[in-house]
Amino acid sequence: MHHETHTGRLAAVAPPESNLQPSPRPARKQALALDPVAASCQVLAALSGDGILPVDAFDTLAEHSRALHECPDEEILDSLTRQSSLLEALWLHFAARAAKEPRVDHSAVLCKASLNCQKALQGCLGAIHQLTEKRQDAQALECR
Amino acid sequence: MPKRLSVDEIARLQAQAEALQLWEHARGHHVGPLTTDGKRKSAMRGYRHGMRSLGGVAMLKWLASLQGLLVALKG
Repeated sequence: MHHETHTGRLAAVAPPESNLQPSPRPARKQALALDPVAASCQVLAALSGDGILPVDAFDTLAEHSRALHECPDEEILDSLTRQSSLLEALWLHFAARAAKEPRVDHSAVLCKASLNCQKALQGCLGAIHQLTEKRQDAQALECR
Repeated sequence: MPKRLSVDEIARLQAQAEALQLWEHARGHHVGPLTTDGKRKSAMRGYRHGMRSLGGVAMLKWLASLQGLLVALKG
């Protein structure tokens, strides 16, 4: 009885359609089925434009990188070569922004992001070297 | 126990609410920073806490997947 009274009082106080009610959040869009080459182009275009990192392009590239585990070495080499140019562009983008940033703490954050990209670039270049050597070794064996 | 605000503190909070126009935030009419410096500061807020912007998080996920691929190639 007491509960009913309390609920009825609340219903009487609250406006029927209050504009303070939180609106339902729109569902998160899934990554577009972009071609990894198109995704790389989209990231490069964003870096040369407004500098806003495109979510869908990075999601596509991450999905592509995860799918590469089962691919032959030639395809991995092609993909790593393409992604290394992207990593270098990101590294330079963040380093340039860090150099232009007047505030020290903002500059340090951008430096950290650029170092993350540079570390990934070094690993990528090492893998490219390893795969290229493997291909040259195979070609040398075929020549004999 | 609720904190008791002094008269000065209440006046400071009222002045802050007037300056920031907090009622516009509640109505959903505030559309973000207007000046270039304000936009720059707003954009940096996502980076400062570990690349928490949507694009930054997506980029870190891509770097992690790339790192996983490199570990698989090395092993």
